[in-house]
Amino acid sequence: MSVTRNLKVEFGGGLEILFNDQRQLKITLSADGRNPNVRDLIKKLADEHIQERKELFVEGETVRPGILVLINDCDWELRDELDGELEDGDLVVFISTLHGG
Amino acid sequence: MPETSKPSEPSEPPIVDQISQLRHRLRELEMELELEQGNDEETESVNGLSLSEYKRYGRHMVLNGIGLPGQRKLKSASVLVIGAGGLGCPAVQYLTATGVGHITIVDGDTVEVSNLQRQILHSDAKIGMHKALSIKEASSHINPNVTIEPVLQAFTTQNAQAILESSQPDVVLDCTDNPSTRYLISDAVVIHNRTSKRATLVSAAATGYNGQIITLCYNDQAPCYRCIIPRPPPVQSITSCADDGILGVVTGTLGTLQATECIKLILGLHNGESAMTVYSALASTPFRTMRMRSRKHDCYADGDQAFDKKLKSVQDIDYLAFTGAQTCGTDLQLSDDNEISVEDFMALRKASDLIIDTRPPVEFGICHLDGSDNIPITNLLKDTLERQPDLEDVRRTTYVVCRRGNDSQIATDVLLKKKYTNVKNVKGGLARYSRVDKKFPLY
Repeated sequence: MSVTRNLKVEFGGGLEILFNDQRQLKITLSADGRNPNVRDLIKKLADEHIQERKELFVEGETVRPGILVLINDCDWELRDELDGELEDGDLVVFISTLHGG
Repeated sequence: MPETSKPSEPSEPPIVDQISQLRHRLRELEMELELEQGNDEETESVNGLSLSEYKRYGRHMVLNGIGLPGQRKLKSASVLVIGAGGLGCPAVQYLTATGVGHITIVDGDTVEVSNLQRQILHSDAKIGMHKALSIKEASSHINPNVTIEPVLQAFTTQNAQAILESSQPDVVLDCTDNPSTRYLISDAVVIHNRTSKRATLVSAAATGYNGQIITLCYNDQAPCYRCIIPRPPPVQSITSCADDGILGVVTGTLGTLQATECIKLILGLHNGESAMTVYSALASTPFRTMRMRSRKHDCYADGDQAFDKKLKSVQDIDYLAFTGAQTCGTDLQLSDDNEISVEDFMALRKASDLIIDTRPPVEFGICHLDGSDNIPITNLLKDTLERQPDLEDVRRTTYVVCRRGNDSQIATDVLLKKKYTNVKNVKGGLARYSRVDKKFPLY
């Protein structure tokens, strides 16, 4: 039986360029026999929503260094990173760290 | 009637003259009084502040949480500001106005005209002057009670610990513009804090319409920069103000927020939580603050591992290599047949030749070579395998230009793979071109 979650995803720090300049996406995420997690979300975004330069978003099954992942305004490290299970209505924000000044 | 021919009045000068003389005398007396009072205000100290300082800082001294003790804390505080640019200028401007007593400013750069749209303590007349000196001068006009110590060098592995040692800062503001220096500053602060009075680090950055700020190292459980970003981002993802642009008010906003964090820390008004604030000027909710992790227990700089397993000196690290920054600039090693100098390009180009400009459309709109076509590098890369050009195109002499000659190398490579037979990368790009053709804008 598949478990489905409706999520809000946002991009910041210039990452929106990789997603056709969309700052926000609504994503429906499913997994078989378990709760969908952040790993599933990253894979879905990389597979279905980036046309070019995927390496600027993913590295293996996780995000590339320098991208912060925030779930409901909390650092994902406080919620099990890749294994963090997602709830209906969760807001997941991906932000590229900046260096200019 | 001219005054000279007026019949002379022996007793009194005309009333108008009398008034004028009295006004003059009044002004003299007022100035004398001001001078006397002024001197008193400057020298007369009451509980550690001069009388004029009470007047100057009154508007914020009346705030709950500040008062006289708060102002004295500000006056005796030391702040180290690294970077005298887009973030450093507004930060120092407010710290000076607020009466932070000692500010050390580290920057080896001099003022350039392209800095002035955002580095607001510098000005036209100061082009060529050291930025740290320019800030010292500007600050002295804002508030002469503040001591500004300029350091006219970049912050490096060689001087990092010595600068921290001599300034003994309560707060360090990272106002720099590249990942290498950001890791260096964080590491140096972590090392400094092992043996000296704790310095808190406030790190901010801005590019385009976006900015970020985070407060680090404020207590034993607080994260450092490495805890938050353990591995540096890949070089191709790093953007700079020079290449990707920056709106002046965005650095202004972030630098002002750095000053705010700094003042809160000095006053003891900081809540002591790790949070990162992200600013996106164009988003419907421009500010977002997020709760961040604590110190990472396996962090190379401030983790829990045994002392001999962790970072001991910033001189042990090659920060440019660590962040990959020394590979900056593209060199695809194109063959000589596929490269041409700006001078040869200008001499040899014919009207029938194709000129492809790979910059984004907004930059093409600022200025471009007559007869050039705009095919942004992102479109070229997207099209790599999709569409083949027609035969007539591939045989034409094709010149590729961009802003500085980096993307145009990649584009040349792509076009060669698309079977273009005669493609030439114009070396150094339009930046180089504008040095030969003096009427072409350099931006």
